[in-house]
Amino acid sequence: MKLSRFMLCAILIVATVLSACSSPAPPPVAESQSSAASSASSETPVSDDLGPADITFWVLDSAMMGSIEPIWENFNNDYPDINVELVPLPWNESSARLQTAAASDTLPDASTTIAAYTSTLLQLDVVENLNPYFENFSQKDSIMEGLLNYIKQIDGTGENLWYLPTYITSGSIWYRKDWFEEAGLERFVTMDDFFNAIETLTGDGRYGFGFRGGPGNVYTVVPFITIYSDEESIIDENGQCIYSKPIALEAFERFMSIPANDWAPPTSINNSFAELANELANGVTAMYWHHFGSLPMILETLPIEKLGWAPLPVNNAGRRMTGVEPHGLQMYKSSKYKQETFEFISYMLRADQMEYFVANSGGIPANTDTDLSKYPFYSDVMESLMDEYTHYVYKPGEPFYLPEWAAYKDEVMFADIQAIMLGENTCEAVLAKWAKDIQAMQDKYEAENP
Amino acid sequence: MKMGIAKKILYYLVLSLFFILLMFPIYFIVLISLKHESDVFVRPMQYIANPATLRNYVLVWRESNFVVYFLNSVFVSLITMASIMVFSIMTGYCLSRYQFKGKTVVILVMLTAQMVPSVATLIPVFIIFRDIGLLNSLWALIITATVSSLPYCTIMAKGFFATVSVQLEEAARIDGCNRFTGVIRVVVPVMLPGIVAIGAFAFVNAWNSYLMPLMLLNSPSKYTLTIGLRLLIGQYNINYTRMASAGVICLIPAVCMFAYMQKYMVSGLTAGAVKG
Repeated sequence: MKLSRFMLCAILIVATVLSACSSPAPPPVAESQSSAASSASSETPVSDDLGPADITFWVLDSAMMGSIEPIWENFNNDYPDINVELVPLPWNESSARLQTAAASDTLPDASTTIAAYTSTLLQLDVVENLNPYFENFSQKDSIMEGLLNYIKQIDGTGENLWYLPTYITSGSIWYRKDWFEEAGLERFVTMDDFFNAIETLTGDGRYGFGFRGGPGNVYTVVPFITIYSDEESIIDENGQCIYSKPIALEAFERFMSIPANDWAPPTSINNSFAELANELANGVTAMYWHHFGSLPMILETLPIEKLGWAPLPVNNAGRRMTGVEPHGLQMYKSSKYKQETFEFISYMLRADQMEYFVANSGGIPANTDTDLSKYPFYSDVMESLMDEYTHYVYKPGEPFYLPEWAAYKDEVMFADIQAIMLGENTCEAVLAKWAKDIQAMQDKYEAENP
Repeated sequence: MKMGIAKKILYYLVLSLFFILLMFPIYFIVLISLKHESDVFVRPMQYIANPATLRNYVLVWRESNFVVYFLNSVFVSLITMASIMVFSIMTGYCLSRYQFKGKTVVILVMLTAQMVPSVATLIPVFIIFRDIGLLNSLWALIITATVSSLPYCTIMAKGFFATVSVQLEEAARIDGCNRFTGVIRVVVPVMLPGIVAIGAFAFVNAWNSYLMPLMLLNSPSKYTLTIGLRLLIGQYNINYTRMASAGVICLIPAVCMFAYMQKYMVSGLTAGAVKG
């Protein structure tokens, strides 16, 4: 009797647990990610008709929901049979989520992306080549050709369109226009003007430059060396790492002289872009280097009349090397509704939809027909970018095709830059190490891919 | 007399210092949540929000889908807490009262299970849940939270049962209770502080869980508060005031629970520590 009551309780508990296991229906995403779908080859789509479909779209930066949600609503109105589920993800973990999903055959149909992510996923062979789909896109001629060429360079072949570009966030120097006017300074053009402005505006509790020493420090240091050296990429056309050249050392030392000379706040060692934007807005620094993506954040605190934008300085060779890494949208091979998925992601590229990216994400749209007349700030930017100095670099400045590059940049180079800021190492020693390591990666890549 | 006063002053001084050290982060989060965004990085720093605003709380609750995240977290944490309390009581009783072959091994396995970090089991857990169709389900979170906290809570329960005299159960049996009724009606009320401690521990662990929800959930409608907080950090955009407000909202249930249960927790935790 005693035992049967106890057994009855145990059975009830087990039954409850098992019923809970079986009650939730597998989410739609599970259906499109079966192992059969993931092993399907990337076939040229033949269907012209868009049927009912359930699509999952991952937004890797949750802040982009402000741009994508209104586009999604418009798409739902135009395509009521295509049901798109938007899934925002925390940005910092988005790469890990994508790679986990790729390894476990649970990828969505499509997602937002950047070049670094796509290059990693290409090695897992999960990204759909969009060449055959893009041929039929009605507004393909309005998409900046340079951006398409950039994307095609990611795998080193220059042939495959791995994602659709949405907008670019070109390198920019945001500065306090009111401080420049007070000091009688014109907007800088050359490198010497740039450093002179930094030094002049330091003093009385203010700092001339917000140095990014914390997370993402490589995103200013690495391009600065490339720009100053008048190179387009870390690996030149001869397959040699530019860090072994004397001008690269000169560039590195000059840029690192900013924190060394106390032209940047002492907190720079830990500054990410968010702190830089806030320091500018709150009267700590005169300028900082980021790109258009931080414009919405700055304008939350600083009136637009006090804000100035400048393109990157012109190097000693008279050129302003302007990288144009595009953000974009990629589709995965495991998608069961490829035509419908491409319809959704290409919908976002239409000129009338691109405005949402301009308004909310602070990007320069990839569709040249996008109406920017409502955004006077952008018009000034576009004019500046058209001057005689600007030299667009329509290929990745970093060697994304090297498998070890992403980890090396984020772990080794990041730590080395901080070590220099702490006085624990020198630019010369660090740059020599980087030159050696990166050249070794390049040589290994060339040996394996003749 | 003078020494006594001096000692008191010293004690209160040290306690005050520790209090400030422990409470300052909480104060700081509340302070940021009451500021306007433009006032967050003003130098010198303002230690009182002036002007203060509650707008950040309204924005978080209304625009960031926090209602859904909050309800999901409450659901997962409460079910996890209830499950752990039931299982740990039953298992703890067995380990405390019964002698059987392999008992030491069972206890050792439970102890060593605590040493395995959850990230090490992430991939197999993910694959298992994918294969049984529990991916993107709150029940997956409940199962993982229950399983991860159960060994420790069971050891705690075993310790609490050890503090209860066997004679109490025998007296209950003499009065007509069977073993099960005796445990439920006599033993459990006596060790209520311990049970509350177990429940609070289980709740807080489930409430704070981030890695498993991040990896196992694919729909915003299933996200928990920890993911909701993380979504406030964009690639190029961090809204500190909204994050602070969300953080305060996350704190409230745990703080309320601890405020109500603290007397049980203190006696429960120390009672379990004496006998094992």
